[in-house]
Amino acid sequence: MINKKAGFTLAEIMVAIVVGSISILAAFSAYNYFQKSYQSISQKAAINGTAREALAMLARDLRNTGYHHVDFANYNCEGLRESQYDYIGIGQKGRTNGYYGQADGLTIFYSISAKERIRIQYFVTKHQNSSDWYLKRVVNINPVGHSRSGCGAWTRNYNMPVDDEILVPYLEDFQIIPKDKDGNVLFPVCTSCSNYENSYGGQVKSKENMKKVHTVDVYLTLRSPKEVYNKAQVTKIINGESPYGSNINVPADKYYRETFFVSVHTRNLAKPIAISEKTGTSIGQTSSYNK
Amino acid sequence: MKNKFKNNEKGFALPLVLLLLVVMTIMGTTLVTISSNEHKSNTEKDSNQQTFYAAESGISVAKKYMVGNTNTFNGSQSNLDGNLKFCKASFFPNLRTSNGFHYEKENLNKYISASGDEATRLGKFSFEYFIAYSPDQNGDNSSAKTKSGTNNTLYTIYSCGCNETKDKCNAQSNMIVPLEAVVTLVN
Repeated sequence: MINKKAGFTLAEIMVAIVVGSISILAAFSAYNYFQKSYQSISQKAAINGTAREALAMLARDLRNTGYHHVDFANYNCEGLRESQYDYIGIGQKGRTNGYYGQADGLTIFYSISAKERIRIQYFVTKHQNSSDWYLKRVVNINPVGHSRSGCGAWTRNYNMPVDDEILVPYLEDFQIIPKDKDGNVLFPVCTSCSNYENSYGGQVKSKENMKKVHTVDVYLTLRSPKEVYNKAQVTKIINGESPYGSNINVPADKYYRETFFVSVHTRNLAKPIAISEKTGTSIGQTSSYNK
Repeated sequence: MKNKFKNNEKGFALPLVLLLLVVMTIMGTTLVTISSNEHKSNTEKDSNQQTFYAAESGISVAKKYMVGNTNTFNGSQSNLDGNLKFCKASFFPNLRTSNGFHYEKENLNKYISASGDEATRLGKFSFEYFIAYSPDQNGDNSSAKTKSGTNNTLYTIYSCGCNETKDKCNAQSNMIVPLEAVVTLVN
């Protein structure tokens, strides 16, 4: 036959095209699937990591809150009398903060030696020109200044060891709920009280409340840096009990959000007294420190 | 024109599949690494928390000892540096001397009743504590101090938790959580 040429029949080509496109499609969808789960797992791992570190730091600071070295009253560089000590302050309602205007701020004090007292502040703030909010930590040694002789001059280098450190990026909510030993929420507990807190007794009531704080509940809601979901969805964030906590309706978006919680026993505020049944001797705990 | 198609071996399926395979393998291994790192950090956090509780148990045990043995705590102290295994004075920033009245180290399962796996797990944590006079502003604890305005002597309990048994714990290679508590004895 003149026209005989070696080649494929139409049926063979059709089968090849079908088989080929199915396998390419399979490969691509597998790739897509891998890409998606990689994205979401790495995002979740990232916020898990930051939250874990931040909560560990918060827990340690809260445990030490209110600790005073036994010689602090006699030797502290700030020249403070015992009645002048602040222990813990929480900027709750009334001070609008964070992207949704409901985040809290936390200020805590404890001494690290007979001479020195530190103030640690956690607050939610915007970072430079970014529209995202961050949890920042600032540590200040002897914030009132050095008024006692033999204490040296106040220097930024020494007295502000942690200056505007970004602890948690992409923060959505930060709630601090102080409770007494029966589990009731204490309010107000503030060091620089707002009008709202002043209408509930302000500084005077706060000073009483500070010593009653037995546990502090900390809520930290973080958002993933990159979008994770295929479809936009609405999120509701409810942290802590109303009216002290937050209640946020987040408009639909594709970000992943997670709330981390820790409840810390403030060992130095509501102090326990244990009485021995055998001897009747009781042991009074005055303060404790966790390096 | 003969065998135009038959001899054309140029294709893209094999390189494409190989490329995707390589990319997906890399992603897969990274995912496994991320997960296992997360797992490791979580385990470490868990262990750290348990170590903290071990240190706290040490303080409770020390308090119990104090109220049961009040006579021990008014004589003279001795230098405990050689006796302490992993809870040395150097762990505590406000203490420079190593004097003390009493010291003890114990595995956590001795004081917390548990059975089976939980007992084994707790047995791998231990604490060591020592009780001494509270130090002055220079970290010297050789003499007694009283709580201002009272006659109550101030004592400090120094306790360390460790994520290893009391005999194996090593301050250099294990996790140590130091904790101190200032207490008074009142009648």
